[in-house]
Amino acid sequence: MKTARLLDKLILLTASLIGVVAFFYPFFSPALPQGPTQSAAHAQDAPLMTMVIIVLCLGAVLATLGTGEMNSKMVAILGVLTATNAVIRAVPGPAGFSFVFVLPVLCGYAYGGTLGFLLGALSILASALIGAGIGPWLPYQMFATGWVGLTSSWLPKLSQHSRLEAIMLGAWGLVWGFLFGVVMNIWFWPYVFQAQQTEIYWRPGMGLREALQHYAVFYTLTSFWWDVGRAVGNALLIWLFGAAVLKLLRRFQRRFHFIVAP
Amino acid sequence: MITFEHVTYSYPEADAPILKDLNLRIHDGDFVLVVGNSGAGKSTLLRCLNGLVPHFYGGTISGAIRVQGRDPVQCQPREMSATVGLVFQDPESQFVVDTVEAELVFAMENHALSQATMRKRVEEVLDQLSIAHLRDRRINTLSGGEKQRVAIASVLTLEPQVLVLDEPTSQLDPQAAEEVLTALQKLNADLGLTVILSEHRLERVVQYADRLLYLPGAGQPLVDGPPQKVLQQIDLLPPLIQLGKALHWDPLPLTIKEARRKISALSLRPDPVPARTVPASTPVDIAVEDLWYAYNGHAALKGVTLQIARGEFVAIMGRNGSGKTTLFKHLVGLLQPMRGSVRVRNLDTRQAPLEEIIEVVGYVPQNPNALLFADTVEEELAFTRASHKLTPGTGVQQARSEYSPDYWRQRPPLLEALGIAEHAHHYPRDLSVGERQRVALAAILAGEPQIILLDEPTRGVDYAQKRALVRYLESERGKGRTVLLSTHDVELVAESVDRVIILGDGEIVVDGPVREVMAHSLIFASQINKLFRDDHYLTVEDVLRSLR
Repeated sequence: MKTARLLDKLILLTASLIGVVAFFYPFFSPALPQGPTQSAAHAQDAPLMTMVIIVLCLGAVLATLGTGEMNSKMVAILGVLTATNAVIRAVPGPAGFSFVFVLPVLCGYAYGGTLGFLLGALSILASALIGAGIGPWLPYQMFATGWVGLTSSWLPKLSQHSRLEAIMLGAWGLVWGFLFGVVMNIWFWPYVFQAQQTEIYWRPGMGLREALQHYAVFYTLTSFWWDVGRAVGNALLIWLFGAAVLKLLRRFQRRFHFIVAP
Repeated sequence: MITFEHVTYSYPEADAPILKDLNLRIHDGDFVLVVGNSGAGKSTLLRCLNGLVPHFYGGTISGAIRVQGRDPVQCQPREMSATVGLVFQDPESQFVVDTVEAELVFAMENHALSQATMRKRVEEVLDQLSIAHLRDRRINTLSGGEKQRVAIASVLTLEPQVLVLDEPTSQLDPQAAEEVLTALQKLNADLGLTVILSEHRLERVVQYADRLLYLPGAGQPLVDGPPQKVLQQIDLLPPLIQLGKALHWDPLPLTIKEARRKISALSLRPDPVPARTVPASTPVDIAVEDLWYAYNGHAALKGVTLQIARGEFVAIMGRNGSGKTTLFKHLVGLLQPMRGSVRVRNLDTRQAPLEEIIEVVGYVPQNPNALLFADTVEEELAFTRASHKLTPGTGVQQARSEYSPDYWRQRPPLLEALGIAEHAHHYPRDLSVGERQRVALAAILAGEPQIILLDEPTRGVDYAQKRALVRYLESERGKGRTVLLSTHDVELVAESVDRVIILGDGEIVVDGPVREVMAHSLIFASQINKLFRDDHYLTVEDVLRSLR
């Protein structure tokens, strides 16, 4: 039980590290093919990366089966929620407004980081397969959405104060609305260079400070307003439906775990 | 052998344990009947046997359970499934695939048995339950009794040593119930299979059992022993036993046959009770004219014509699939006649909008879950109240309510009358079947409908609560409301209604006063009526009143 829990943590950590490496290695790559569009971004390694994250997800499920957090019934819940979330993603919202983050935030918070990570990553995969489209961005979206779920488990547990809890989760959704954009742009940013706008792009050999400055400008110009829609949408949806969904999630958790008293 | 040692179990967030310090020993080959009030923990006890409790219900468990040497709390339910076969209250909820044969092999496929074994076992169970003729049928075309036997067969394919059934006959007509119970008795006698079943209608089952377990609920110790002995100590009694107890017969008769020998000694002078009839001038509440209806070309109602006057208390009886529910759905406007007409309080259901019909008609469907969605029982009732005041005709609604809004808020009288007041703040879907059934009743009755339609209202409901329900419906009828029951419960009918309509294959077979109908029917007759074969005696009270 204890080793299983350790193994689970290890797999999550490995997955996250691989994700971080996948996002950042282009900055250290010696011969990066830069072009005016993002078409060259991860053209070679994305399929491999997708396989790696899927294998890690499977590993996480198997490793946690021995712990209290996951059992056959929680796997069933994960499956149902993943399918639901994949379908929900197909509902179009105005200006980046998307339902896809609500469940990973709430599940990560209620069921723990492993389930949150898996729900985020797998529901993006499933929705890509059923129509959202497969491309080199897919593994990066899987990592980023997985992290939404994973980090939600770090929030303090406020089940006794339902108002405070709703405010906290809504605010968390707001923060992740922007953070998701910040994280996601990195997957293609180092691959793009347009000579007429040098101040928002990266060139090999650039220092960290300068790179950050350029990225900040790039983010503000290209994604910020789009992300406002997503962030506000997240917060609104969580404030509207969060309490009701949490109640349901907790009900299942109570039913699927029991205590053997002496 | 099955043993429980100091078993205590509470559901998550329950105020008190439902099983408290339970000690129990069941030997191989026993036929055990588990009885107790609704919500006393019968289903919980049965679910402990294969580990569904606590694996699928959560909560806290302590003590030791051993079933054929295995511990269901340590094992997973999937491991227990080869030892204990559990048939749920509602057989439909346990079917996975859609034909009988495929359903029978499903469990075996999951246990990875060889094809040769599967072939052999399918043949065996088909014969054991006499369902060989059904093997290629689709499950949804089967009757209730057939479905129940298929459900039993499907758990027997794993050759369990223990067969557990949770109210296996609660949805069945008397004939189908008989078929199922005979099959169980045969399995018990021929194969030595341990059979454990719970049931509310003891009159159907008690003669088959060689042991009775009475769960008093509220943490009281259980009463355990041979049926005759236990029945002396408890007050959940079928009519025959009630009579036997009242007349101090010893030993208590469990079957009509045993009681027949005793009654010749009785001197009875029938005291003719005037049949309750409504005066001819009473306005007609429900008028059905030559009603025809078919589902996908399969005729369900064939030219039904009937009139029900205001204030009548009527039971619709008939086999599973004889058209009772279809008729009810027409009365509330959920279905519309293909031919003929249905008028409810002078509203033609084909023209009147549904909102107008449900102002007048309250319909409680067979499956109480269909009605329950609120977070607490109280909210469920409040929702009905609120939506009835918001529908068109608000002023009228307010005026005809007999209770002030405060009265409802402070002490829901309905919950008291139906014995579920203690659950006012509980989550409806966590309650037992009998309790849910009564919550659904309350949720509909809260709208104070003028015509009350109840489809199988006594599923999972014990004798005392049945009486409480009858009392409540009597008082509603006293206020000029019309009550229709669709039921298989002949004892309920004998005690409450004035008029019985028996449907057969979509047509009205019999329509008449309850005494007349029961005295001339073999299947739809109450126990007391079967015993005396005289239309003066339907209930225990009838007999006791005539004693001189």
